[in-house]
Amino acid sequence: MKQFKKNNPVTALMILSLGIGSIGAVALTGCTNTSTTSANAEKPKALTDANIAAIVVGANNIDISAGKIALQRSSNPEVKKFAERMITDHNAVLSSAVKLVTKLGVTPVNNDLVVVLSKQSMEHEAKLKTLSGRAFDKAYIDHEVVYHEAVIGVIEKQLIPSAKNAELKQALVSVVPAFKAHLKHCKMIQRTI
Amino acid sequence: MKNFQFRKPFSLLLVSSLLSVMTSYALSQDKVDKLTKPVHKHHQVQITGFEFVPNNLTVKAGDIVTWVNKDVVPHNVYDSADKKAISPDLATGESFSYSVPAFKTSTTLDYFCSFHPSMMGKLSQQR
Repeated sequence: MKQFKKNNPVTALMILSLGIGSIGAVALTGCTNTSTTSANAEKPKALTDANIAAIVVGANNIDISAGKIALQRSSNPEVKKFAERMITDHNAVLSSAVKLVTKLGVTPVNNDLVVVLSKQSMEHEAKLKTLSGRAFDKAYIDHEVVYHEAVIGVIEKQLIPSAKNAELKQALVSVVPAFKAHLKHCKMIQRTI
Repeated sequence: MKNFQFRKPFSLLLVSSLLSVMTSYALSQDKVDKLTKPVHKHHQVQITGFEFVPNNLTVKAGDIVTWVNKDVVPHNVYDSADKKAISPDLATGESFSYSVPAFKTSTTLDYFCSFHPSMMGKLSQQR
């Protein structure tokens, strides 16, 4: 676990994109947990559609949660508008994903990435809650840039190739432009902070 | 009585002739209008995958452009020059039609989605 502590959910996403698997076990609400022990920690694990569903749910929830903190703590109108957009868009993507997995009869199953994402998201949020003013805006937006870059990498390199169900695969393909538009948007704001 | 009996068919004939003339005038006027009035085209721009498709549309003044949101998130259409709304916010599946005015200062109207500023499009006007 040590190797993830100093960073944030981005680290976990980057590790997934390198194909490194199991790390720990913390269940997320509404998901079954199938984390493995540290014995096979270095062995890459294939992602099931259920794992992919859990990652999509987790990744969207993390950005919604960070957006809610930004709405409360930032006084920068552009940052607040961006945060509102993250909440609206990721809720819409989440809702669409939930509809699809319900239709497909896929129950999201946590894997190690979701566990690490959840833990590190909590750490990141705890840090954000200690900041204010420009320091907060910079920490939030800088993180959004790196987070969206990492999520795009994981979706394109791991989730899409791993998805077995054609509809799930197509849904992942169609969600990438949303993350790319968000990335461009937060980079625009980053230049002004 | 006689006079009356003589005038009734005549009146009917007169009215009938007038109606016929008016109808044929209206029809011919319609043809003239069709030939002389400019034809306004209807264009559709799909909002899909966080892009306006097509993102550059050639239009004439009076044409109708309809934006249709096919994404799962809301979008809108804002004028890039004055940052004013062209369309209301469009939820998934909603559309908005816009009658293109004659552009005064430029031959193009650049627009964007205020929610996602990287989404941009353009209407180019033929003179």
